[in-house]
Amino acid sequence: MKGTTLTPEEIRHIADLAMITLTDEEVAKYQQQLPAILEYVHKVNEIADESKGFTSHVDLSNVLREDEPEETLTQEEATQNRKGTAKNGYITVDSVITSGGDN
Amino acid sequence: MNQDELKKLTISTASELLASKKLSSVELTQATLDVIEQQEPVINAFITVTKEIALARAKQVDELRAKNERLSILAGIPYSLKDVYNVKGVQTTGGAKILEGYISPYDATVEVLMKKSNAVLLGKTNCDSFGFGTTGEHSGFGPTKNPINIEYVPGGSSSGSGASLVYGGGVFSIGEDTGGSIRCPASFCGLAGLKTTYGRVSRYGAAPYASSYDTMGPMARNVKDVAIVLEHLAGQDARDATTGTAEVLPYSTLLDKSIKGMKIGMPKEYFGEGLDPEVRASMEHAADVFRSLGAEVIEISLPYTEYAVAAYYVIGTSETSSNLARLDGIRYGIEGEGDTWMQKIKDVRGKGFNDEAKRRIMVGTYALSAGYADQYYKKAQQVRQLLKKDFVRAFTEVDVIMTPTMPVLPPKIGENESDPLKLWLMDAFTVSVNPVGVPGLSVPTGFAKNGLPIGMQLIAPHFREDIILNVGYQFEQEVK
Repeated sequence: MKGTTLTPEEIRHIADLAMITLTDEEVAKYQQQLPAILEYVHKVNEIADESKGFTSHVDLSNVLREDEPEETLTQEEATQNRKGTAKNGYITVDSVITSGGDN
Repeated sequence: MNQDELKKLTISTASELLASKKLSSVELTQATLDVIEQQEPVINAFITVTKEIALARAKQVDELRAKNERLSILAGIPYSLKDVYNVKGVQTTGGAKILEGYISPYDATVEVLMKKSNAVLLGKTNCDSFGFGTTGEHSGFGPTKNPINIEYVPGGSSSGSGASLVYGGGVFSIGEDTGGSIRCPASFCGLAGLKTTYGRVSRYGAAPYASSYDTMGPMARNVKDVAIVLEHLAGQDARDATTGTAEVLPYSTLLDKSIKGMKIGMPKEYFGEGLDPEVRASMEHAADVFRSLGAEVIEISLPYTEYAVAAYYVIGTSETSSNLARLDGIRYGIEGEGDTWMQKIKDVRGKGFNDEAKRRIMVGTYALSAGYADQYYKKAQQVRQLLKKDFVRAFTEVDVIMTPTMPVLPPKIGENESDPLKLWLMDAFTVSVNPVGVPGLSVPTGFAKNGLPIGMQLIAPHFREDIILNVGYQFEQEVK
């Protein structure tokens, strides 16, 4: 779209959706760069709406295997790269809901 | 074996030397590790060198050979993996700081197959983080330099795979290609590099970039070596439900066929303005070589080409923003700071992703967000269908499509730093292949006046790697 602009607030909103902290310098930089990119890729809208559905590469459907148990990672292996602690095979994290409530 | 010999060593030669016991795998591996140690301070092709694994495997192969065990052609041959493949007990970073220190608890299928062939793992090669880059400059572990001329980029994103082969740090490397990441460094480094058909080689255990584009494939010093490695990688995998049932062919035995009567199409859209004159001349020369071999070279059209880059990046960044959402620093990755769960995750992602990763994640987030998904993501998916139809139609007219791999010669390091969109556009000839899913092989066609290599891209229908390997091999034999 010609003349695409993004405000610093919009850049911060996109970064928030993507869960990324940005510095003020980064906000200023992306405010310059993202509109140019979005304007370029908006080109896909020049195509008339003639084609439906999604592309599949490999003509396969319902790929299943026998439901036989096989060796998997142990809980210790699966959590070995954590930075925090683990308890009963689970990784301990900060509580997600922090406000106090009755429930 | 000295560096000059290692720089030229092919799988065929190495396996003969090993089989006849004129050379042990330990000797070959040690010589290669010595070259790597000497070259790395300047070139930076490896993120991790797995010296102990390499020497242990080499020793094991020598022992098996001493017992006259029947061994694979790859047995004892040193190779590297782009640092997107998980290898149990070894760091996997995808070229990104956010994963620094991550030790894989399991092997990628590609590595399982290489290990089964008794090939010798030298290490994990540098790359633009998560494959985001055309030059090899966007790695969290510093840029890779092109050993042909260190002022220039080696191409990306499988930059270290390309550069290490140029200086003699291994006989072959396995790269990963989402929009040109095997073909571009192959072209800029004067190597053969194959982007396989989507579903030809298992993606299991490879760090994802865009899951509907990602393909695994070999890079090597000639087409025959690429064919040999492909034979060992291709096939269905229960751990990747998108691997196809198409028969795995004995690719390396199908190279000698004459290409007389074959039809090779040059799409006019790839030969327009903006194509470097030296690249153009090299393609015209290649076309003459094909004619001299009895092939018919004709002009074709892929009319939706001009929309390919836009569609590619909309879908690619969308899938990226979704794939990389898993990187939260909780189960793995660097540690975050902050008072809350949410602040820690945002901090991990803010400091762990580089500039290019953030840019792509944000473009993808925007393209998928409410109110914009119809204009961007859904529209791009429609263009993707049209691109696929373009190729399907073209393959009713010709057997192979031939294009330049890259429209330009390798740029200098730092040349395009301030203009990310310009770098995205540099991928114009490679990116259309991934949304369509067909295989593409980059083969060197010659050198520019500044001594840097030029490559052509050969494209075949889905699962017909055999055709482009045959055509590429015939070309290579004719010009060598």
